[in-house]
Amino acid sequence: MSEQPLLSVEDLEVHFPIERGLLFKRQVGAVRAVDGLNFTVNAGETLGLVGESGCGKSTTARAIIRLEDPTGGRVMFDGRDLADLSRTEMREARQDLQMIFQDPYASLNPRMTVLNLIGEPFRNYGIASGSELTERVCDLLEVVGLSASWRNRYPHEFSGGQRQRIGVARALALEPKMILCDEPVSALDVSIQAQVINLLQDLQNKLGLTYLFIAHDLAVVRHISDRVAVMYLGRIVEVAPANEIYTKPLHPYSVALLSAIPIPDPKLQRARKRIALEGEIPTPTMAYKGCRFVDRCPARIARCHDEDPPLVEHRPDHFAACWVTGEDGLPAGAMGV
Amino acid sequence: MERPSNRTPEGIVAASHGRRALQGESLSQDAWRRLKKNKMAMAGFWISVVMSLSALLADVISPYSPEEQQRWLGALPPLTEVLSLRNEMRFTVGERPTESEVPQACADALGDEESHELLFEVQDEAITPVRLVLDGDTVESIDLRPPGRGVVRPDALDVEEQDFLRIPDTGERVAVARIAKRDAAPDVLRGGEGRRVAVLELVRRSPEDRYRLTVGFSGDGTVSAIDRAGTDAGPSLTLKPGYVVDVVLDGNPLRHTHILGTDQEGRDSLSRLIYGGRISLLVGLTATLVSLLVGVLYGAFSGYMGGRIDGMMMRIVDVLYAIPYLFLVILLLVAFGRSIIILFVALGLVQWLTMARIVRGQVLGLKEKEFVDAAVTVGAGWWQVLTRHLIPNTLGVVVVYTTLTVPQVILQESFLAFIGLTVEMDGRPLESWGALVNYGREALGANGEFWWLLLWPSIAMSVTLFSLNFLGDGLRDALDPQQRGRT
Ligand SMILES: Nc1ncnc2c1ncn2[C@@H]1O[C@H](COP(=O)(O)OP(=O)(O)OP(=O)(O)O)[C@@H](O)[C@H]1O
Ligand SMILES: [Mg+2]
Repeated sequence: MSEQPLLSVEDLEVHFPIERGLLFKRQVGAVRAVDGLNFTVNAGETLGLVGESGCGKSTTARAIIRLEDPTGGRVMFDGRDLADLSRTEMREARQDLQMIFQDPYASLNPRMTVLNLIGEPFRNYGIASGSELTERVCDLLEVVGLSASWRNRYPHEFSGGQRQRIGVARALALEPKMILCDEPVSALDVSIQAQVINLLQDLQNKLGLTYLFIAHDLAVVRHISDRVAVMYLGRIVEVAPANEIYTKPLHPYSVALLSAIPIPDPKLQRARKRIALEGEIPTPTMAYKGCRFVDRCPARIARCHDEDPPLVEHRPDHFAACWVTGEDGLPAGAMGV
Repeated sequence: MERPSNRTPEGIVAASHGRRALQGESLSQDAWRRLKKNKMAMAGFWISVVMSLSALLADVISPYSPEEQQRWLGALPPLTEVLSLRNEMRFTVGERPTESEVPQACADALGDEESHELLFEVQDEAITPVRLVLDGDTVESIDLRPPGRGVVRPDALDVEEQDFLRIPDTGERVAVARIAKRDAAPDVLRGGEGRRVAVLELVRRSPEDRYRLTVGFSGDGTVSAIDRAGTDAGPSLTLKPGYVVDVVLDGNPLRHTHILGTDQEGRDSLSRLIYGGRISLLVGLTATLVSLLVGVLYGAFSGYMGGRIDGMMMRIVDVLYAIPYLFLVILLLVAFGRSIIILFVALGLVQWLTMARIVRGQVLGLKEKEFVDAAVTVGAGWWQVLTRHLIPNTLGVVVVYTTLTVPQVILQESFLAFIGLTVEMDGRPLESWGALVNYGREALGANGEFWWLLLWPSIAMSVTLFSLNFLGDGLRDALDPQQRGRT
């Protein structure tokens, strides 16, 4: 990569303390929601971030935009370390970095009209007011494919997809460079998911936006992402260009995730063996000496228990954190197929 | 109301919509629509509105001043008709009657040489206020007898002492009359130097009653004027001792009715009820407002800040909770005087604790909602988050709790009034419903003769408390998000 990435997350750590005691709280442990996370997002591209529920995807996004304070690491955005900014500095920085939330029902204040919801960023930063504000909100509504005449309605009068469009319009209001999309479609019907994703893509083409696009399965991000990062228990286990991760996955976890995507061709689907991961999804409360995936990994070797695999560039632009895998992927039979 | 349903094709924008804004239905409009379907709550709502209006317009709708005493009326039961001194009727004083014209009953009395009697035969309308201006010595007796009953013995009456005349042989208070003592009487009633004024007001109990009033006086006193009360104009008559005059009253005297009766000081019960409601509701509303203002802000701030600050702020609330509040209120009232402001503050200071806890609990839940994060993301500071996002979303609960707090405060104030801690303003006591109930309880009498004095304020208070509670319950249902959109 020649140019400087727009967003560069380095060794990001978000640990939530676990406290006991009624009166005098003492810390008895920590939820390591994000634990040494590294990735970069270049300007104008979309990085898909996938992983199981609870692996720390939302926490990552929230830590980047400082809804959660990171306990370690750096978040370089546009030449500044966001993790280091004061609250007021961060407030200014958010003009360039916005977020779309997972739940279109919970992310809109039910007491505010669409006009006030989308107009709020203009008010907060003193950008527009009065009729100018109305005008700009109407423009935004039309940009996301909603009628400007609906501006005086309340969120509960809209469908999930329409609400998510309102959320998109709000995120666009400040004309940010980058938008963090935290599972923006997972609460929507499948038919509507595609529409919202198409909208996001159109906007990217028109406005040159950069996305971090979070999803919990690979199928959804395939469409929109330039590159895909696979996350497991607070860590990135594999990063690759989008088409490569679908065809030549390197990490056993990615292989297992991919096997869970249904293939439209029934013959192929039957021929393929689905790799069921054994064991529960582990809780991120304990510290790991070796690889986090080791307990559920069909390909594990002795080394995996003791040494933490680093994220290594096995192929150009294709990184994976695994002791077993190599340039040609996992050795045959490693996944027990 | 046209709503987009889930089936509305996404993203299809009718071009004809243009930029004309369609009005949406807010949550409160939705709640109001559902409240209207709840009969009990609406009854509560309208009764509360009527009560509030009557409290607000007390000066206009109250038929009498709540403080004006007409002590000679005494406690009159509801619907009693009274002829008042405000009577515009002109009395026609009859000519000196001839011997033969004197009614028989009077003739009997004439035999007594010691007293000179003035006899009024009140015709037709039995209730008549008459002002007698007597020159000379004391009025010795006032004799009042209903037709067909025995003559009241003059010595049975102690007019100087008693305000009310009773018929001694029955003990029944058929009518009341009063002799205004010279010093106590208002100027217009004062006869001037060396004169005695007797103001007599008779109350009719039934249309058939006809009363005969006999005034006896001694010495060489003369009746200098018998006229319409309140003025010295009109026909007057000077009598020499020994004369007997038959005063015929005609015309229709101005009658007024005390719909809910009067109390023992002759104050109109209805007026006192209306003004009492004003005090009760005012105390209820103001104390609730204090609690709203302090409680909502305190609770919301505490909940939003969380952590240490929240812990400390809530411990303060806990400590204040532990103080016996009634003790506190009584102490404040005793220490700083029984001013109504102190009462507002004292009751409000107690109420905000619960409000703060409720709002804090709400905010604790709300601040985890994504829309709060979304607001922070688009640049909202803590004040905006608090006032624009958190507090408006607690309003449902706050409204419900407020409608339930008002009756609670009214009840507490009533309790204070009941134990005698009435407040004052400009030195005058402000008598709330609680004070009226207390008065009614004291005045009830052994057999409950004066039942109306207790009944009216009790009903008014109960109805209001019920109404507000029904309204509060109805609002809680209407604002329940689970019920949203249902009919
Ligand atoms: N405020 C918090 N306090 C303590 N633990 C937290 C907190 N927020 C998240 N966690 C924990 O951190 C882990 C990661 O949570 P996160 O919400 O980031 O998962 P996710 O990948 O977004 O999952 P999903 O796909 O379900 O949205 C979870 O185990 C969660 O329980
Ligand atoms: Mg999430």
